[in-house]
Amino acid sequence: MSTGADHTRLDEDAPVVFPVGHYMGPFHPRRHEPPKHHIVRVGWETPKLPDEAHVDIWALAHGLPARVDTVRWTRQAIIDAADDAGMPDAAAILDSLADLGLIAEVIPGTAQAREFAGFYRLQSLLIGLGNSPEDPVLDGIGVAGMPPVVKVRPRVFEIWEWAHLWPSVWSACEGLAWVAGEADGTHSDQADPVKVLDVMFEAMRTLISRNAAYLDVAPNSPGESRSAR
Amino acid sequence: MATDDDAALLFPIGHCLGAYYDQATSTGHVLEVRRGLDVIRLSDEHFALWGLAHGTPDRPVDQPWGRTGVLDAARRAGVPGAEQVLDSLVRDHLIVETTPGTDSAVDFARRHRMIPLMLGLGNTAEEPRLYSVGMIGQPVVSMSSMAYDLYEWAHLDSNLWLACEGAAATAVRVGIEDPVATDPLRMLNALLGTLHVLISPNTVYLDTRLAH
Repeated sequence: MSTGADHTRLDEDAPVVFPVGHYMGPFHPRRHEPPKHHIVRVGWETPKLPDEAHVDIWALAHGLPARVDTVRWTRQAIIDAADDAGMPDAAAILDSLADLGLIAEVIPGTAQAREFAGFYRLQSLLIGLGNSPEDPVLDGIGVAGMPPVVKVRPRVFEIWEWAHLWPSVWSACEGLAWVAGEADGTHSDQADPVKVLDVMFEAMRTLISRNAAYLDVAPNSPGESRSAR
Repeated sequence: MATDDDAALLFPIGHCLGAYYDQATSTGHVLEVRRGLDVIRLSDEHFALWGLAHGTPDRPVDQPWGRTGVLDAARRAGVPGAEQVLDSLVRDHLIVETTPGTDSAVDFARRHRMIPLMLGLGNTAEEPRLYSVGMIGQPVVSMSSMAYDLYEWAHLDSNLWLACEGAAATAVRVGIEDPVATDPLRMLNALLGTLHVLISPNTVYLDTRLAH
């Protein structure tokens, strides 16, 4: 049995897990029948979550808002959260979700992270609610007339506001870095796309755990074409 | 007698970013909307009119939302100079007027995209013909399978007309016989006729088309 300290050390090297796709809900083929499956749109395809257990673990892969600021969201973190919630078989279901292309794993700060960023794009949800005189630093994102779903610092808001206009996470990093370089000079950390990518991963977790954004495949990814629909 | 002007609908363009106060305790602020690659700063009056162009949630679904409805709502809300403000928003392409069933509707669709802002919540065992969108556990709007299809896919195309053509081609391929689902023009007109139902609670927004 590992100690808590061992656990933390191991988790620092483990990939973090992100869910992939835009949730499209249950599909009931006929009245008074249970759902045949739940649908997720990923690019021009719709992989299916075959049962409620897959839905629950895919939801956990988004990250628990109460934990994501302090816990690296790895397979183990998801399995722990599933155990806490009494959900069995989380490890096997995570394997199944990976096979379906509904979760993706990445180790920030590595060459694999750059590859990951080229393969996926970030799509934003909800609307901006701005800041307030009482709290001019943080910007709200949510639904009109309701308290913000999440309040974020300006760099995270900038990613939410703009990243979806680029075809991939990596091209968004390059574009945001170029804009920062034009504004602040090329020596700024914000003008380095690799450093922007580090911030991007933090922003993605904050936003995705609140359903204020989702990951999709980049339009030029292998196998990505309209004929798949 | 009804004229084309009576049938013209108003639609807001752009993604709401919210109000911005530049310092603590300041009452000075602007309201921002992103449209394409531009962020446009609006006064309270302009933002109010842009908001009213989304429609109002208490409005009957089948009531068209055009210039008269928006201006009446603006006057009731006490927005000063509503007509001039509306004209300036139309000039700045933050509000666009189009009439379903005319060439202007296809032109409108070619120039804009429709982007979802919420999750699909699927259908239910009680009413499998209706699909809803919203947040988890909070359905906001229900719609037909055709509208839900566009909600799911339309933003992947560079403009709304291409999306309607693609959805209609798919409907033909899978053997659907409903002409509203297989004819892109009828599909577009049906969508535009109920689009404010989706726009008013911000379940979608319209943006300018993509260059590619």
